[in-house]
Amino acid sequence: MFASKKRSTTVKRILAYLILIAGSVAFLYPFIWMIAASLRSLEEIAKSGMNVWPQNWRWDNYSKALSSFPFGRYLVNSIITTVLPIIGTVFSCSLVGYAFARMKVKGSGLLFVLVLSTMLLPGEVTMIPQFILFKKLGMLDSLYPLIVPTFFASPFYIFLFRQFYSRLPVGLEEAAIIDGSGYFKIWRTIFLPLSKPALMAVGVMVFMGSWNNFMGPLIYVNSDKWKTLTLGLAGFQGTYSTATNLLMAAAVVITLPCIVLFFTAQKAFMEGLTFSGSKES
Amino acid sequence: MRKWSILVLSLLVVWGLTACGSGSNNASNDAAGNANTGNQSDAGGAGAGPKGNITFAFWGAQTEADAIKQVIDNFQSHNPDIKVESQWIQQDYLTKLQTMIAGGTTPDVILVSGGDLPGFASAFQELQIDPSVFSSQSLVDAMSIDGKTYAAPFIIKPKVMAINKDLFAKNNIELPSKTEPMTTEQFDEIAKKITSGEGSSKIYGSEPLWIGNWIYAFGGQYYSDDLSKSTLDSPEAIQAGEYIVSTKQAGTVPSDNEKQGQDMMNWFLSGRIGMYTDFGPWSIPQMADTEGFDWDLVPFPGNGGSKEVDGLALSKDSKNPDAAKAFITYLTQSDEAQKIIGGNKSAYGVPVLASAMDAFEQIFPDKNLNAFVYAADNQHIQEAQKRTNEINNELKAIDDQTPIGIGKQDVKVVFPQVAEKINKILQQ
Repeated sequence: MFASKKRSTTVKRILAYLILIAGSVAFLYPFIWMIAASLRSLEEIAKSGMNVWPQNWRWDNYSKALSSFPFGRYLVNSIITTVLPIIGTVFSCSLVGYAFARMKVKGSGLLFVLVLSTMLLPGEVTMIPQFILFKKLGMLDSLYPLIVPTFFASPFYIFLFRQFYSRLPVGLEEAAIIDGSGYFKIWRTIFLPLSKPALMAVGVMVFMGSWNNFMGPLIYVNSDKWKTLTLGLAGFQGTYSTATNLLMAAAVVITLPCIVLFFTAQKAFMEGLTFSGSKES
Repeated sequence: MRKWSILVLSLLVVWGLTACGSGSNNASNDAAGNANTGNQSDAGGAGAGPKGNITFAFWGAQTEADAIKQVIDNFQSHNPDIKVESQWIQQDYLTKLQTMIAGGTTPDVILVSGGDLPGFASAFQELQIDPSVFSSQSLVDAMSIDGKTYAAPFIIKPKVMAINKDLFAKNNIELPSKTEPMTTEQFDEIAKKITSGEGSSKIYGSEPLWIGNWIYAFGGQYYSDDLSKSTLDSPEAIQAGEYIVSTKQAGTVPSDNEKQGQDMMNWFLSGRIGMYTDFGPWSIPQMADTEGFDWDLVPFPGNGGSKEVDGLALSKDSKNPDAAKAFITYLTQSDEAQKIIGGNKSAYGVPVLASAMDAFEQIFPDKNLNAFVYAADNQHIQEAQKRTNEINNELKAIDDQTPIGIGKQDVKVVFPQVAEKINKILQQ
């Protein structure tokens, strides 16, 4: 009885692993293909089909790809337009989210609906007015348009923080209020430290969005010195033809930070899934 | 610890913002500098030529952008008083252009293709250009709407046919003429001879044919010469459509399933296609590395295909039109500039000046690049209409309803219907 139960769990386990392996192969394959293509000649890419083992390893694709555009400068710009938006978004959205969750004033519900409703406007509609706005502010052809808006909060992340803060127990701030703390101090000393999982989640989402942002730099940046890595990648694609191997080589390098981030932030994410606001649970 | 991290964060923010700020400082300095030079030229008049800053927007892959930047450098070495700020737009060129025009920041000089010209002409100045300077009168026509020229021809991108010489030899087929286009019948015959094998090793006569090229091979065109009427209902256009359907039925081209999501150029590169008919200059560098088989270029069958002419337009709002005009004239009419652009290894395109053709043909001296020169002279120019989006919507019916794409209806029935709908759009 016991043995058969044990056997059935082993079988289940093997099955589960098989399914998981099949799933991860399906997701990993394009990634491996990208690495393989980055080490091939164009002709070999055309011939190889599904095969992922390069015949002639073309390591020089990497040096060619990274030297064909000012990689260092683009990298610095990409870092600036990623790090600052993360700081901006996390700061502004958690502050606004906290206000919506905890400061019950007349009309705050309506205001929240208004904020959320701006999510309905597609980016294409606001693109030209925003462009004109930044032109009037004298911020075209700089990195400002990619950074400044993030310090003024965005509806989706406000929503996320609001939901998070709404679930924290009321007792937390009552004690602080009795101690004489103001709203800002409560947010800074109690809510912000407790919201690490939400901060991580938002931080990673903003990282992905900013690191991979293509339309923003394309529209606002003209001169080479402010271009970002995504624009560098686009340079490998002509209107009619693409230097696939060089594109893939550059893409591998540019994807690296995302992979590193995934492995380092993975633990925090897992914690985030089981977060709780109070010590008792 | 927390205070320390807050300090680091705020330092980061300040550093970041100041780093990005230098751009706008420069911009205002530039603007001031611009105004100054403007004043100087107004007041003094001592300097002979135009002065100041101009901006130049262009698209293209990295290699093409490098070629253009080289020409810009050359222009600046001849004209030290003019500073050209290049705006290389890697992708979504038209979106960015539209945004810049709407936002009132149109670049002074804009690279534009003949096909896109009607949609943007209202933002450009009319130019006075002598057509006799260029290798063909049709080049200025491609840059003109209703007799008014809105851009100067800069580069030509025609279509030729690439052939896999090994497959010709293997099937005992005589190599086609390098200077005379073969007839559509000859093409059909050769395609059938080359097609052989089954399944994943099947070799095809050609890639699936594109109506946009073949309509001209059968003597047809999309519009009447004055562009007022669709001629998709003409016997020639219908014949072209029917021929494309017949190649699919005969199996001399890969089927819809096989070509799904695949780049047919890659199939040619891997030796599975005998004749690649949609071959533009941009494909040359890709072919140059090929060691698997011997290849060459010949004119498009039946003189089909159409040539894209790209030109340089001058913005209506340009603050420095004289400098911009000097720049446009240098790029389009100077032998030196055209040789740099035409002779670039990236095969950017065919020069617009007859005197620069040699530079282009010398990129790969052992291949028949003269086929491009022949096409640049003889091929039909891209036919462009202003209401491209609406018309393209109607043209989708060709793919959706006839066996050229995935449909089942007769070409004879569908083409006249599409022509009628396009005519309605043109009359509005």
